[in-house]
Amino acid sequence: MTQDNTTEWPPFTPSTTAGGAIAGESRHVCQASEWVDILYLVGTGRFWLLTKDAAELLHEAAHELHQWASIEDPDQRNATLSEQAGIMECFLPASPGSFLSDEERDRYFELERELARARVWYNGLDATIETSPLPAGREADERQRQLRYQRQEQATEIRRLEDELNALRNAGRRAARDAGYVIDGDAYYGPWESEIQQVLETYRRTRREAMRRHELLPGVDHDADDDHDADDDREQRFTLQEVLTEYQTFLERCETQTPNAASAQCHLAEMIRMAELRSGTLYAAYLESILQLAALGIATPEYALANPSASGTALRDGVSNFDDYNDLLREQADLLAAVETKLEEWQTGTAGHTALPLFLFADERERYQELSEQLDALHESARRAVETMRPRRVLFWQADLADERNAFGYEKRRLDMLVRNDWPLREFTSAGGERELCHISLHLLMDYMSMAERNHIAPLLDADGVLPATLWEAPETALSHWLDIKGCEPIDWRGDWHDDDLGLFQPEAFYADLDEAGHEVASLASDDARTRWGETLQRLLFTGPARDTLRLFDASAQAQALRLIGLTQGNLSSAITLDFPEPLRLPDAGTPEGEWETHQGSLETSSDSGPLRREWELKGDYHLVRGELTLNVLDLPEEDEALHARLPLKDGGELDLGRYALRLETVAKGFAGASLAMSGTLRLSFDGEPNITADEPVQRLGIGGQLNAFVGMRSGIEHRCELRWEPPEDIAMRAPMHQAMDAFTRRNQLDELREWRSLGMIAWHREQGVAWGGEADFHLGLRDGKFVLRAKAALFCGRGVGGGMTMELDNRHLDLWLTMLHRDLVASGFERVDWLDEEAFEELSTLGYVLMMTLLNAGLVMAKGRAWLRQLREEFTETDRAGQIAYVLTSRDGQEERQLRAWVQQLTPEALGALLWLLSSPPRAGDEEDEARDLQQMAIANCVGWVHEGVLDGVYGPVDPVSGPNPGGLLFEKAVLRLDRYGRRTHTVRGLGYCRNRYLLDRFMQIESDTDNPDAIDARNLYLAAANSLGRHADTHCEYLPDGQGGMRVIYEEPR
Amino acid sequence: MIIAFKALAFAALLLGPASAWALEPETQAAKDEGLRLYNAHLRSQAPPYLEVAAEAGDVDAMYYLGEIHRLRHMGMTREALEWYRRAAEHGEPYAMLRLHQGGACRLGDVCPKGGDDWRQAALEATLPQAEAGDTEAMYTLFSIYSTLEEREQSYHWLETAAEAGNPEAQYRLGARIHNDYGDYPDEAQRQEAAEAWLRRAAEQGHAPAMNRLSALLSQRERHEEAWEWRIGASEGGHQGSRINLGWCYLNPEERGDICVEGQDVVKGWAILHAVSEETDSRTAKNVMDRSHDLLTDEQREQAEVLAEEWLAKEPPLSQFPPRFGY
Repeated sequence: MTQDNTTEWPPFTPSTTAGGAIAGESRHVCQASEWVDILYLVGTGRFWLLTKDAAELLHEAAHELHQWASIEDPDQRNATLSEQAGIMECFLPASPGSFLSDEERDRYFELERELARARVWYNGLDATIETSPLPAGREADERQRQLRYQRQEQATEIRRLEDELNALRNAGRRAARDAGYVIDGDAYYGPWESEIQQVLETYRRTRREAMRRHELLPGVDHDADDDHDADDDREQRFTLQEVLTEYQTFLERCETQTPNAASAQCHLAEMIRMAELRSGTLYAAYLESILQLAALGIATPEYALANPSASGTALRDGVSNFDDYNDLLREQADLLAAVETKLEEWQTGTAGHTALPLFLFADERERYQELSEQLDALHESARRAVETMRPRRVLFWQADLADERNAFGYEKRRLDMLVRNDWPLREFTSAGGERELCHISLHLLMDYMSMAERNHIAPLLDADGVLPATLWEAPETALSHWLDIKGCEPIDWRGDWHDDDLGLFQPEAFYADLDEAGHEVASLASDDARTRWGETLQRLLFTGPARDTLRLFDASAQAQALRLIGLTQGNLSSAITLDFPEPLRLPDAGTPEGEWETHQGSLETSSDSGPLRREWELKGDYHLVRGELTLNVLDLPEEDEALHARLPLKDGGELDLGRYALRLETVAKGFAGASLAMSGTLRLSFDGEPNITADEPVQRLGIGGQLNAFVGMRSGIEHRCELRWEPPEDIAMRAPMHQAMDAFTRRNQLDELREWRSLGMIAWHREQGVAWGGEADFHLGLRDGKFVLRAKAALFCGRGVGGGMTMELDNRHLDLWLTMLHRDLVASGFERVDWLDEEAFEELSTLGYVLMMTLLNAGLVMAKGRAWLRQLREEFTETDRAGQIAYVLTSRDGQEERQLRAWVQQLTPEALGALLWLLSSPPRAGDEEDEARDLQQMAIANCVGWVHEGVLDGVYGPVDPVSGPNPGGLLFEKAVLRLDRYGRRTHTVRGLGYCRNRYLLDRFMQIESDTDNPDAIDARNLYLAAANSLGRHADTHCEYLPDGQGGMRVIYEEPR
Repeated sequence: MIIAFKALAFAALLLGPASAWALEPETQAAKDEGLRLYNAHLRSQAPPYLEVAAEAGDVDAMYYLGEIHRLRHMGMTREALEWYRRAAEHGEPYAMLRLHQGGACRLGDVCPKGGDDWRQAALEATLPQAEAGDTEAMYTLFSIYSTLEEREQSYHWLETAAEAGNPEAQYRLGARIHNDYGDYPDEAQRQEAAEAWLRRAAEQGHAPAMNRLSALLSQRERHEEAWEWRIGASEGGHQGSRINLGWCYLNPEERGDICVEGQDVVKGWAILHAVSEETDSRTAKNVMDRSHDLLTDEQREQAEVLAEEWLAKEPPLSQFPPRFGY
């Protein structure tokens, strides 16, 4: 951030005058039982009967604050609110580093970045050490030792950095304390975080349990429509869907009606009254977790699919999407459990595995495909439902069937924030108020107070702090004390003013008590006024389920702040759209924070001038009673504007990684929402996840450092972010599974093959600065057994954009990634591919091998997880099966053969080496060995021949005889070097290994059979021609001399 | 290129027992075409034809559909399981053996009536027939006992079937002896024994046996005799033999010793062209590519006209995959 963007908000300085004229006149005037007005102080559970003096002052102060909050220019508004009301003080959270001297501050932030990097390194080393196979041999031993040493070094470095940072942090905190700041970021910005974490956990647990014991939940009775309203002595058990649907209908009605009126038109009260919901059953816990998440801004699949608008697009007649979703998950759970048991049986059984029981997984595979498609459709329908939902929720879609937890899980955002907690804002509703809800700043009110009053009130402000987020009866003292001084009389809120079912407020009961106590309130004299205020109170006051579970009103300080701004645009109950004065901007990279350093080749996008678009129109929807602001769905960028991400190569070329786009949905709560609304300029940032932030550094006199206004808001924002991908053209053309169609058809249907697809959801995963996975710009690794992609934001948004994100890949597209791996191996001459770590490489290599054998689809093979993948690979390298495998590899025809050929051409050297090893193993004794050997030779000839054809067809790039071995030749060389069951190198000296294994392979291919099979004879010729062509560079260093004992001595001459 | 639909009654006969009842002519034609494709290693195109026959109740078609699905993904897929199950319900013993190998009963709850071992079911269905003198059943017991890992019984039944005159058993036994089976004082006597069995099968018109016999005879430098059997095998639709013939006519020098008759490039080209058209054989194409310049354009045109005759030959070309192979 540069000095140019720094705004100067005048700091708030308390007035030193003796107080305003009005204040002086009205002191100690007590008007006994005749009251001018009555107010309810939000969040305190207390009404106040107001004296004339107090009422006038309050309304005056509220009017003034409203005027200031209504100033259109954000800068001017914020400056005014800061200077006059002291409100903005509390929007200036800061890191301890902000309070240090310039030099120390730079060092502080530098240390934070270094520390983050060091931790990433450490974790990476840790993972490598823990997950690498047990050491075998000296080389592996040595490597482990080195890794452990590096880890220890890294740990020492982390301690050193932490010590230095801690020293600076303490100094910063001391300075901050002197300036009136306290460490309590959570109270302002993150009170929901731990709650979300907790409720999500409950939700997952109860959902799992509910899937397992679904008989405990009320079943769906599709015939029940007829007698829905029939009287029944038994208590009706409403299904989850019925309750959720009704709840959403109720919420929608509440948008335009009072809660009481809305409730009268639906059965929600009846449902909530169900006895079992009050007795802590599984059903109750499951339902409650869903409702609580909804209250926290998150729509679970159940919630979204229960939305009335989602049921209109049912997949199957008569069965709603909601039931489908539950059925699908349940079916999946049962199926998985059954298959698991059987697989174990099969693995421990002794029977020869002559025919893999693929049918075991066929059920699952087919259903997986079916389920995936249905779930995709349900997801789409849930997404649409969420978009139309009022208030809108962020969809939390977790339909990973094999494992319901993604690689990350929900992580609480860590806040290390310093804030001022002399929060001066108070919210009240009064019968005689200008608006339904009024806001005052106590600082402003103090201008109207006498010195004595002010001296009394000021310390109470500090004592009150920020009213806690979820309390309804906060012990507010500052304003209450002043009201007391002014002769006003408190009336404590009573639970019996609410109905028993939902806990909705019944104004009549309240007024009756008021009348009975003999309180006469001028502003409530008319029936009209009573009705009007009664309606407002109905929207603010709740108890029971309406308050605790449904959270129909958010009384927290944060929500009050949002309403201060939001109410300048409309009423409490009206739909208020916020047109942001400025578009959302993508800032230039220049901010060191969140920027990753690049060590392994940087990422480029196709536009030289950076992103095509740096601005997006941003709209928001207030939901004032809930203290929320939801933003429109952002496509970053629009698909047709997306750039091709390119990875530069060492030789000056580049690799197209396809086009990427993000879809971002946002709900901002409380302060975060208020901050969004108040901020003049919003920017898009990438820091582990995409984020919308305001970035307005404020220079504060007397504090010394720069503070980041709104910096904390990202913590109050819930995002749902999906990464979409359009594979590059060459990948779509080359992908083996697309080889089922001929080249012409493929070309014609290229658009379809390349269609945009969802790569997965960006995990809610936060890490500071550098994310997991080393320091590359684009990186694929394994984490908790899942493929995780980490990429710089520049990939999506163009050059010059800082930050990045991390996400788990959808297994269904792994075959395309395999093709991408092949292409990049070709580009690097079959050396390491930078964007992939060793473990992920091995996994992809294995996957390629298995897909080549089975022609199954990647998602299906991966659906059973890594253990199953490994098991398949083991089976397909059993020498007992060599004959069968050779038979299939030589007798596939048509599209199956085309796919097979493409898979073989795209194998890694490791996989091709293992395949050649298997096929050159001696035929199983007892069988007709000659026939088997014929087939194995033919299969080897096919595979080597296909690689050779690939060279000629340009699969491995242009053929250039001058520039050394073609990558296809390198693939062959390296595969021969790895003539081993697991594709491991058989010799440490590469050249010698090649010469020796090539000899073994040739020798196998020379064995003639007694069958006269012309196909085998032709295959031997074909093999020799292809192998000699592919290996011609390596062959020049090999020499074979008879060893005098009928064998051959292999000599390798080191090239000069 | 694949030649157009070709109706043929022989194919079913060569592959094993025909169904117990006659199929409607159209259904029979579909089955024949399906089996032709299967036998020519054009498996992926066969299902639409075989399904017609299978749905009409043809057990062979059911079994081969099982084979196609199993080989497609190299394992017992659900489709394979389903076709094998249907074939097994009709008493097809090889389908039962496949069900056993794929763990159908243990893992998939597809079990034989009143039992849990498909091998036993196959044995129970086959043994009485074999004991009643059915040579086909005897030969089947070879595979059943082999799957039961009873090697001695297995070979006992192979020999019994061969002695009883089953050509497939005679061929298999001859080939096994030729490979390594049995104890013989020297290689010459082994070859004698193998030849004797192969000859008995060949004399019954068993094309793979004729082919194997010709290979054995060539090995023993009896090229003239071998050539006669090679022609016989080719006439019986043996694809390898047909290619060897064509190769010998087109380029005897390249093919080597087995070639007896003089070079006839037009005939050789015609044969290979027809093979390539009918089965998409890569070998035929490769031989032609390499020998392209041995013919003038005119000769090639002449050959392609002549190829029509070869294309029209019955039975169609086959790789003769064993009924119970890989």
